[in-house]
Amino acid sequence: MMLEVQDLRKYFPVRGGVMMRVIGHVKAVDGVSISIEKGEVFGLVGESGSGKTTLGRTVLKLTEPTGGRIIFDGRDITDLSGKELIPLRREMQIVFQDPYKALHPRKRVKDIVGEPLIIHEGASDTEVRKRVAEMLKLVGLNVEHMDRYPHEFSGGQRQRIVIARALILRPKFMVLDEPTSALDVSVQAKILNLLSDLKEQFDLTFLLISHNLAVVQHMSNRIGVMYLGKLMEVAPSQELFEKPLHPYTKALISAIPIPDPKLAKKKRKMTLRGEIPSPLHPPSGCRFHTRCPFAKEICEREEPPLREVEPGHWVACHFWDELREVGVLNA
Amino acid sequence: MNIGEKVRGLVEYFRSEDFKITLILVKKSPLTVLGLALTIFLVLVAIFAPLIAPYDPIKQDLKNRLQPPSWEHPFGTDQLGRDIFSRVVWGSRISLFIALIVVAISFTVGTTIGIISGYFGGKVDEVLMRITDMFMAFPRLVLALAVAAALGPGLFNTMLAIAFVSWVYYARLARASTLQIREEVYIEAARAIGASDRRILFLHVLPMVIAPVVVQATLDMGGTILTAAGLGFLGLGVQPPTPEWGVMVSEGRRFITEQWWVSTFPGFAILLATLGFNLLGDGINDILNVRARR
Repeated sequence: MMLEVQDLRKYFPVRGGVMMRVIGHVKAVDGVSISIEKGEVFGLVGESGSGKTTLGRTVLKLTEPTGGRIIFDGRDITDLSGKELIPLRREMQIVFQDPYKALHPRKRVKDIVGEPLIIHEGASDTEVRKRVAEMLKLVGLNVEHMDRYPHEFSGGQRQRIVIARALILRPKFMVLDEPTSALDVSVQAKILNLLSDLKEQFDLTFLLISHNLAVVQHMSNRIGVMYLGKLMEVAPSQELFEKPLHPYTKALISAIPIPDPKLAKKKRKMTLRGEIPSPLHPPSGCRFHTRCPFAKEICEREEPPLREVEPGHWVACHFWDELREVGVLNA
Repeated sequence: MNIGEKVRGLVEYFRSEDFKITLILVKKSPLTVLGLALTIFLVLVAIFAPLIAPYDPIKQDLKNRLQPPSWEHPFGTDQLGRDIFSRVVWGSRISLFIALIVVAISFTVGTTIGIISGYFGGKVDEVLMRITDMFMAFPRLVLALAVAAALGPGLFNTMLAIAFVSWVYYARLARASTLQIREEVYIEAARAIGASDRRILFLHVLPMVIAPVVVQATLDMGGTILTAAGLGFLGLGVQPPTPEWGVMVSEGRRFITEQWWVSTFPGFAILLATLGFNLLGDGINDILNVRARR
């Protein structure tokens, strides 16, 4: 097991009033358990505000978890802090969403990509140059790019620089936080293919976070669907798309555009009303009941647990069995 | 990075589009050009003071005391018969020296404290910022006076006193920028690759904070020259016979009605030096703002 997350919680205090006292918590991640096998790509989907990005950061201990445990490669890293985390950074890395913000504007590519080598190995300048050159080739950039500044590159090239920096220490595990959503459509596929290739080449494990189901489907072995800080459904990739059980998952899948208009007409759309509720005051019972077309009275009162209903297929819905045939592609 | 590489980088920059735009912006603002000209003039005078000044600035000539301006003594002579022109020229060295050292000290101390305060936040920030509040509660000159009085007069103590009251402005400014920068993704990225707080502070935050603080430093040069002259005037700064402009104005005060030139010329020097640095600082500020908007 590469990563095991048990009942992870991350609450952000909200302060207000004259005294700036804590008047509530935004429960960005509220009791999520995931386990990711070595060599697996685990996809995490959800709307903006569902807590998927916070989950990614917390798993890497870039923010402190409020509760729960994080076990990385057999070690409990939940309570490590400051200096104790530094050696861990060699093994777990992150690719950020927006490559326009993730690179220091006053540093050259060599210094950005080579910095991990200086921090962890105290590498000399020649050594840094040599290894950065190798890395740049690997991610599809020219060696001559080494002495340029980030503003001289396009979005896709910048994302390659971000990937090179994350990969230069040969980590085992990477969080990909919306790695393509800030890029042009034409570049997205190239970056995804690059990531797939690198995964094979370096035997990596990914936690892929995205709001784009197509991206996640393309790459993941298993997929988890998040809504308001909780997992609604977890299933192997293909199964999730063919036999979604949770009404929220069904709604997400039916929102994927179909390129063929004839097929599209046949498709029964399931559109969700309204916006995702505020995580400051999540709905009672099942969090999805305010937008669920099938909500009954029990959904308001009782929170459905995430249960394994079929081998490897987990769902948190009271009526998953009754709704089995509803709302999927004209099945 | 070796020196050759740095020089090449600099040359590259002077040839770049970026630098041309800067030049155009400078040309568009006549006040900046004036500020730059005054500043360069001041620096040149300070460097070549021994060549420019016709007389020894502290040599007395009691036979020729309080002579009005003439070809022999363009700015006249003072109560001890010293040539005022030579003293004003030499005085530029003192003023510039004080300004440079004071700004260097307060820049370093202020920026360091500011980025630490902004980056760590919480209790550290609270304590440091309340200290700066205490400093800012007093007018700068009044506090500098108190410190100078406590330390005793003299060139070194003057610089210490002014630096002691100036660093807070740099700290405030650096902190404000740091508060923004610490939320940037590239700072989180640095944390993600395992950079220590110290590394992040000095290698990632500092380079981004430095631009606005440099502007403050240029603006502050003028203020520092003025404060130093003020301390000199009040007798708590540099001591006679050193040709310091403030001291000279103070000495000429007694003769202001009959022999106006004794105070007036060093006063003009203070005015021009302060004006030059202020115009230059404002100009740099405007240019950086325009470029930030691009």
